[in-house]
Amino acid sequence: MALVRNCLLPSDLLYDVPTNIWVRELDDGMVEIGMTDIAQTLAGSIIHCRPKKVGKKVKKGKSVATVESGKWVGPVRSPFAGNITERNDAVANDATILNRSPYGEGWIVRITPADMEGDRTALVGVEEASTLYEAYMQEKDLASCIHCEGFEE
Amino acid sequence: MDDDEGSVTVFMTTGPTTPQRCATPFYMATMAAAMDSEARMVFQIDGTLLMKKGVAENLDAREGGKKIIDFIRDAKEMGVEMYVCSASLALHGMTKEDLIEECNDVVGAAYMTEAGLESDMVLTY
Repeated sequence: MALVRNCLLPSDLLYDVPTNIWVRELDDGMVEIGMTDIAQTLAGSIIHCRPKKVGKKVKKGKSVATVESGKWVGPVRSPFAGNITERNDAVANDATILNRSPYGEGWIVRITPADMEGDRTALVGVEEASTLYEAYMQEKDLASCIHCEGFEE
Repeated sequence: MDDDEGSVTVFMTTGPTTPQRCATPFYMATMAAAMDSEARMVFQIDGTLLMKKGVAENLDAREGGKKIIDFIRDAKEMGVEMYVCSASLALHGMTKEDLIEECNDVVGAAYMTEAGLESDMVLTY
């Protein structure tokens, strides 16, 4: 686990830093995606999350879910083209999970990529992500990540 | 590949005399854009005043809340396009030079009618 300005970045994940998305490669060829600790901090207290439907085809960079907080509304962008094969109804029912457990219970959708190897090349590992996030947070004037009560490390 | 997420047009006719009505339209347009819909806003009648320099900067829907200009900037950042009705500019004695930089263009009635006809969803505030 890497730590950048109190923001956690698990070592076993890949990252798309510009969109603040993490990716976990699953054994069955699917990928699981969610919001980073930095993203949940920037959003603030999240009140709604609406993942798109299972079976939906998505293009790389397009929205697979929308997230709303009291101060922000935005998309969760997929780093992969492919099909949504699972959505996490738990976060749809209780979006605060995204603040409490961004890397665990707070996964948002699972996708079967159309071109796993091709799209994967745009992602970075934890080491490079740490460097990029340091610059990203400086640019966003974000001093550190904020963790709510019950945050799961 | 199914990439048709539809289009949304928000017609905004209310303005700064009812500030409590001035945040939601931008929020809805931002959400539509976040869902990858093609989202645009058309400002008519008093809505046009929200595109006037110096107005949205000093307006909040709720006292002490987020300024309307920040809702406008959030919408722009998400890709929402904003158009002002040419007749409403004249109504308020305004010119193009009075408009904030977030405004894409000034349009006529034919554009606005077409926008409504072509959209999958039309919201009017």
